[in-house]
Amino acid sequence: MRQFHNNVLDYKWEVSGEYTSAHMETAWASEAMFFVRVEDARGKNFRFDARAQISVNGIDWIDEGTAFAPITAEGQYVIRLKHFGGWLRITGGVAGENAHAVITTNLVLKE
Amino acid sequence: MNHVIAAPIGMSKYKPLPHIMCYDDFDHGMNGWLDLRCNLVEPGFRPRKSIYKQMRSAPTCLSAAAFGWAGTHGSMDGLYSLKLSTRPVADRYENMPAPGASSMAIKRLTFQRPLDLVQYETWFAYTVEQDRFGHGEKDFRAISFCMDIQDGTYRYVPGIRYVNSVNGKLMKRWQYSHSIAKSDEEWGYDSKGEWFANGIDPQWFGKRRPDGSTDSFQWLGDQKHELCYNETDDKINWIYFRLLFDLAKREYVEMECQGRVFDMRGLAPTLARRYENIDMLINPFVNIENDTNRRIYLYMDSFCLSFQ
Repeated sequence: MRQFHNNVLDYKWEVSGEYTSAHMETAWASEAMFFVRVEDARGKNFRFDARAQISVNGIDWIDEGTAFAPITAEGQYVIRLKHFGGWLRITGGVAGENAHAVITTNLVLKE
Repeated sequence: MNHVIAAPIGMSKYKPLPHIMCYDDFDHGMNGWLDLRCNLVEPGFRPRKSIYKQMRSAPTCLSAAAFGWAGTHGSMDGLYSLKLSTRPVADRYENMPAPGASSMAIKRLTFQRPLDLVQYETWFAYTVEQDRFGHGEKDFRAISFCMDIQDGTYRYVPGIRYVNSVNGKLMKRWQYSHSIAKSDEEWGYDSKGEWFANGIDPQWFGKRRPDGSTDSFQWLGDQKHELCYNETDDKINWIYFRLLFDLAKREYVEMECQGRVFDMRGLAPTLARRYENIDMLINPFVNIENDTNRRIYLYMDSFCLSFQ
């Protein structure tokens, strides 16, 4: 059987500016998916952006190259990654006039 | 039926009672351990309104124990261990833990049948995030090894807490779970209308004092016990822990860690009222807590729960 782990990194996180998810060790997995659920999106010209980051030590972070397409409405969104080493997180934030959202982020790993 | 079971070699470092309920080697996955999260019982899948913000804890994961300068430690018998992480926030010791300053992993079980003794064993290691130069040991406040039990009459949480640091001062002393609070309200930091029960969830509740004493955990022995912690935060050493508890008497028997054994006969956790729907519950768990605004980590190589 294949190994699998679905972890809720952040549950219903109130975001009104920058957002960086909790990070997790991922060394055992070769496939990863970040699921983001956007709720209670508010503000004129609301937009949520986030991109994946990798790390050599869980402290210093580098853009992995994969990003969510710009999110302008409530809903569920996903990105897929491979070849990411030992650590993963996403970072980004909301933009727009008085922009705000409630963010839930899952990291889903498989080997 | 006569049968012979070959124990994995990793079990040779344990001293289990005759009936082994779990031997969890985290090289083979999470083994049923997961983050403790709120019960989402309010509309919109939201938790009850409470003074304690449980949803902020950081994720538990499988770790290769890799560090920036030391590289990958792996575990005792392989590569992966179960890792608890906190978020880089903290409040003073005498206050309720800040949201995210505490992290807890739990395994949810029930008794196979009523038994007399239960033993909780693990090999663990701990450190702080090496995000700054210097020795970070004093930023690691506490580790708690506990069992949440309901036997059909009472619910109670026997457990042991290592108080490593209190507001930046290294303490390095053991405590055992036993409430001296006089009411549920007092247990919950004098809050009204909450769901807390005196003696339950001692890892968060019970008032705390700047000398390290608490309403939830009482001092065990009067000596400092220095657990092995390297002079740099990127090197970890595996440490043995064992707690033996008498289910028939609802009393502690003994605790062992890193070469020291404490006779605990005559000591008992606090008995709380029975909760609906959870008779025969036994949930071993582990909890850690920051002393400063810095992530801390606890690694469990493996875990063994056994009965007699």
